[in-house]
Amino acid sequence: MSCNVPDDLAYHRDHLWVRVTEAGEVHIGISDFAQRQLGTVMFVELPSVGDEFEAGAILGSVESFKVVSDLIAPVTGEVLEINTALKGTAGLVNEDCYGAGWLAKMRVRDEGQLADLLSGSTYRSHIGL
Amino acid sequence: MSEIVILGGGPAGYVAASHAAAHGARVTLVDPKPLGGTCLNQGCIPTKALVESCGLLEKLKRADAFGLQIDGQVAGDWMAMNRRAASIIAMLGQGIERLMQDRRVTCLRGYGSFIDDRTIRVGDEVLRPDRVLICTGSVPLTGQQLNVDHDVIGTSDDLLRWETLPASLMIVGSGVIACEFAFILSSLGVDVTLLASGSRLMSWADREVSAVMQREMRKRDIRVALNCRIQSLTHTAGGVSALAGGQIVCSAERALVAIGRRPNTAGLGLENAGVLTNGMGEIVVDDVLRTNVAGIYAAGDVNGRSGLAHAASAQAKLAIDHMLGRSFEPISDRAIPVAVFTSPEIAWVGRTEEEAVADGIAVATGKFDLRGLGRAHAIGEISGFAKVIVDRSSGELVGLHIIGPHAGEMVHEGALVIQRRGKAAELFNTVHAHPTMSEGILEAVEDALGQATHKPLSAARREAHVL
Repeated sequence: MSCNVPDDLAYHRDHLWVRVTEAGEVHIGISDFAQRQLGTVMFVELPSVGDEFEAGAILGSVESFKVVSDLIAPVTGEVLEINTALKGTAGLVNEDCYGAGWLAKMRVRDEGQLADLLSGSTYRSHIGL
Repeated sequence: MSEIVILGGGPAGYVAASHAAAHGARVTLVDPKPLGGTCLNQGCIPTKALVESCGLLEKLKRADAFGLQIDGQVAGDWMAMNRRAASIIAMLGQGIERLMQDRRVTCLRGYGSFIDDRTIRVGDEVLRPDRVLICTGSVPLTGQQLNVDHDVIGTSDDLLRWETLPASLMIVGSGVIACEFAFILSSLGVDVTLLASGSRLMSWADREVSAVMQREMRKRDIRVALNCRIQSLTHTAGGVSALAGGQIVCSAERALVAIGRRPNTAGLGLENAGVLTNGMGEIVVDDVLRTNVAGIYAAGDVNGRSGLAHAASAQAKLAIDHMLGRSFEPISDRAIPVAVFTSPEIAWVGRTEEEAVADGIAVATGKFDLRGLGRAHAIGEISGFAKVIVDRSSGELVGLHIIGPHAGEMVHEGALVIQRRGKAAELFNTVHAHPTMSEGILEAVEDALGQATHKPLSAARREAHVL
């Protein structure tokens, strides 16, 4: 399966990508590998702005015709913004998972934690590419 | 011939009357209101009629997905829906009355009240039966601070009488009634906010069931506020405001107070008979529904043991059997199924995973997402799951939890196994028809016992469970 794994992003082993936008702030979303596994996404249950999560905790869920999957927080921090466009058009996750289909913006509590994430090449081998 | 007076004609009282009269007792059934009780007249039945109207409406909104073309508008008509419910109530109520005539049960319209432990007054009549069964049910709980006025701030009884719907409604509560009405009213375009005092909805349901229901509410734009302990409701120019933690947490045009129900014992004269009650007013009964006073029994909501109509009926029959000296099977409260008509439906029987662990049972759990079933996709309702809780040492089925279409119909195979303390493998060894939603139960049991046929190997359930 061909999968798009951009090298300018970091990845969590549970398939969320992380893009550092400015100091201490990141955007997160679902990897191309994960959205392909899910198939047509029908609903994304996002956290509320202000919610705080530990890395590895469940921050929401994504529903496709095939499965319901938990969304695992890739970093520890506070939710600053959620992608409200996903309400009603959850298919954005399939169409543009690294762009318009982003999930949330978070403030990272410990920037050192970003080093624990996987690089593009490590994530590629993690998913068997 | 035994003379029995039954106070209250709901699912406990009329069933008791039918059962007792069929077995030779002379029965007088006393109720000031039409027979059928809260269940038929203000509860289960009218709300299920509304749920069905709203379910059809929801489906019609997605008609194109089913390959249907609808020209013109599809919209709910609250009063027309209620007229349909009223006609169903009338028809079923007549059925109960005919049943009572068939059994030669004497029906007295009026409030029954104890004069002493052997004597009951109903209006001008004085009855001295051999046995009495109290089945006076329950009434909605209201707190003084909630300022229930029945028109703007009402209970479920009031809501069913409202002739119009508000643009926005806050629901105080998070139990069965609160959740069912949240879906009904949201379908009809009401902007609904649910204010739950606890950390999750329907707190005695399985935790994962609560989570799916909350997600389904979010899909329908029903707002849910958790850990929100309402101190008071106040009338405002725009409707109602709710105060919690010293702050206004919600404002809406009207409010539904659905914080529970309490036993209906007012005016019964229990003190004249010496019948004991507990803190909430529930009549204290033993395993065979006897009160502390010889010859006086109590069944259904009034004894606080369960808030379910079918549990009330089962208790009532058992009480009658005991009165008449007939043989009977004890009721296991664990084997009484619960059905909740939210969208999707919820049903369960037995223990939740947490209850089983708390009871010291080493559990294996199995779960299957209903969207793995062909029938779910054909119906066009794929949300939900079936989950089983199994005792790992004995293999006994200790719980079945379902959220999904037809859950209320599906739960009974679990009830049957749990009632007879059977093993989960009995479900596994029972071939299930295809394509049906019930295949989800089979898959969940397979998952608990090893490997569900239609579940990826990578998603196999952990065998042991530690909470």
